[in-house]
Amino acid sequence: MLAIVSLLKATVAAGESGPVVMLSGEADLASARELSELLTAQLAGGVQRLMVDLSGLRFADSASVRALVLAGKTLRERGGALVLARPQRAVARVLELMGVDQLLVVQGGAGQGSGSEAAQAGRGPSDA
Amino acid sequence: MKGNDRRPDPASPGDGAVLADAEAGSGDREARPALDQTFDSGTLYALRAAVQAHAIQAGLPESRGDDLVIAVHELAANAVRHGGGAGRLRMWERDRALYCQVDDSGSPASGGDAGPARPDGNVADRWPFLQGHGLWLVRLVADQISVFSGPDGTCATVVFSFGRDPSVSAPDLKRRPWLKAQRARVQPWEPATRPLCLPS
Repeated sequence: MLAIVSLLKATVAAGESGPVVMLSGEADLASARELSELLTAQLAGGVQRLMVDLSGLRFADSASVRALVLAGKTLRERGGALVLARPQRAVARVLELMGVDQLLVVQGGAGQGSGSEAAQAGRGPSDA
Repeated sequence: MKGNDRRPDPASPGDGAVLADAEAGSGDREARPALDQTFDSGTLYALRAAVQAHAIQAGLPESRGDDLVIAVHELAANAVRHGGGAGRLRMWERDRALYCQVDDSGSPASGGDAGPARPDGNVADRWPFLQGHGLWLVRLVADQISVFSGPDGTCATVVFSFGRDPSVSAPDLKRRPWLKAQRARVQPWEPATRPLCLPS
């Protein structure tokens, strides 16, 4: 019997305009609840802007993306925004297929080729 | 890209299972899976890695390999969620295309909408084929998809053709007509029973 292995790692840091969640590894249904709880916790206290840095994330499935979309919906309803930064190619593809690029702000993603924007989006933990 | 004409070595023994072509009047060669792997929710990452490695080895363009991994993962996730927590993937190459079949042995569409079974016994219409969900995603990227649910569980198969132009991607998606075309082109279910399923 194999144990459930979660390959998702998450760290949270304070950025200039709100919390920055850095995800790395792989996000799938084995970690979707964990991800959802992490995001919900960050939304507490009237946070307006949450940045999720995806640069270390190799894979995200539809369950994980739905967790991000739900957090984004909560923020939008309070006049804020969820920003997804620097998705790798495979993650950018899922975001695109699911139409998330039209629901959330995606910065510096694979294929957008915008190095300076990616650098901007990547600020956060080091600037905190 | 070279390597598109790579085939599974017919001399290499499989896992002992004798697999016959399930498709009536199909190819000249017996289908033999290049990959045969079981999975549960804790081993989906290993399944994805194996699928990606085989897609590269078979010569599928990189971007289509990403799509294949997405499709197989979402089918496997459905098997985990709706099909008793585990399943089996078989992947093989035939007629210039990669076939990936996911089987589970759980009760079909547990927790799903109770729609009537079709005349051929397929109750897969009850699967959550909603926008933004896994199967919906699979339909966007696969060249063909077949899902059959019966009393013994669900068999879902996707086909990725080597011939498809890999450049069909981001720019077209931005404007979305391709999505509409894809929805129109891929019929939810083939009329034939179990059109793409290998016997277990």
